[in-house]
Amino acid sequence: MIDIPKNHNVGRYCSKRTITESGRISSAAFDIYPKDDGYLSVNHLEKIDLDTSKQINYLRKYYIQKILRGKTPKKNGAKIAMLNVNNTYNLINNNPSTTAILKFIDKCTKDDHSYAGIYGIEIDDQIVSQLLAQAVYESHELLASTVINAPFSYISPHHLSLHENIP
Amino acid sequence: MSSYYTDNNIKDQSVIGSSTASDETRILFFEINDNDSTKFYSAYHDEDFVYELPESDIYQPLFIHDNKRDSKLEKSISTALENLQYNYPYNKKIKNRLLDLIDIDEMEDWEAKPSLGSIKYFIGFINAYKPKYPDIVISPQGNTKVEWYTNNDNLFTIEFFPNGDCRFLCFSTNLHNPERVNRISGQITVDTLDDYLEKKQIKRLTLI
Repeated sequence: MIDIPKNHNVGRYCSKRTITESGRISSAAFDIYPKDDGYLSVNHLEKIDLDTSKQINYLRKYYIQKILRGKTPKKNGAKIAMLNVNNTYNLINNNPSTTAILKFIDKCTKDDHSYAGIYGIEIDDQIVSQLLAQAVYESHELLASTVINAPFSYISPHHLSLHENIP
Repeated sequence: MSSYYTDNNIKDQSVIGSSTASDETRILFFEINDNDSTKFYSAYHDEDFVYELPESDIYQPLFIHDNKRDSKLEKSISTALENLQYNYPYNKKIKNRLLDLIDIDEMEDWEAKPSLGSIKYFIGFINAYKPKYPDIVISPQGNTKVEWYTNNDNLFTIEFFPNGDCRFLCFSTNLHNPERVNRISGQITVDTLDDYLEKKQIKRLTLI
């Protein structure tokens, strides 16, 4: 199992039902259940492309195909949440409110080379679900080109070089 | 399906239809197996993007889409919403929000149907406490989850379970050490929420 480098980013599909009326991604998008096999599914963005717009373009099509089963709804409201690995570690792994130690693990398959998982989340750990929602640095509508910057006080990963070799 | 395809090169499958949206084309094709069963796939492509479907994914034909609409459930939920008290100022807003969220047609395959029991406990809670208008979402398990969000350090969340239990989460600024945040979570029964709602900081977040 290979850890995703700390300066890299992941994207997660968040269904319409977990988005608030104001467009904020709620903690429900990061709740983990027994069927999740102990991890939350994400996609490793740097494995898709180094260009952000290409990453988003790929994920939009991928999620419509994989999750919406090819149905292109007229209106959907689902979003793609972007998280930076290092910022998420800083927010959760050293947080005295939770004992969770997260790990972003590469789970690539021949069918999905960017597939990855967030491990270390206990079922019913609402604090971690909420903190993960707060770690979202940017979100994108699944069906539009709107970018919404979350009220996030951490360093944007765009300020980090994608090629920077941080262990 | 492991074969790579392009606009004019589809190996092993036969195209049975395609449709073009603004910037992409959707292709529907099928594969007939040795046992005469048929697998259907759909895929997208545009100028700079070729989508290769995972082998494990077998798509239902788009034109025989399974109708999951459960009119009985929708009617039951609508009836339950009638129990919201008329004098509650957000009565209509909450109804509209929940009716939008329970639109079964927009539900995704892996999501549980909205829980009627969960909605009933939520309505009971609203009628009892008449709180500020919350953000309302539905958890992947189908439970109603409400959140009063001021900022990342001040919020209160309740998830209503169909059996009368609820999970709550509270983030609030520590009044003695304002640079610290108190984070509390737990699972209790809805009828004991009183004990928590009376706490000064939660009251400030949730109650009118």
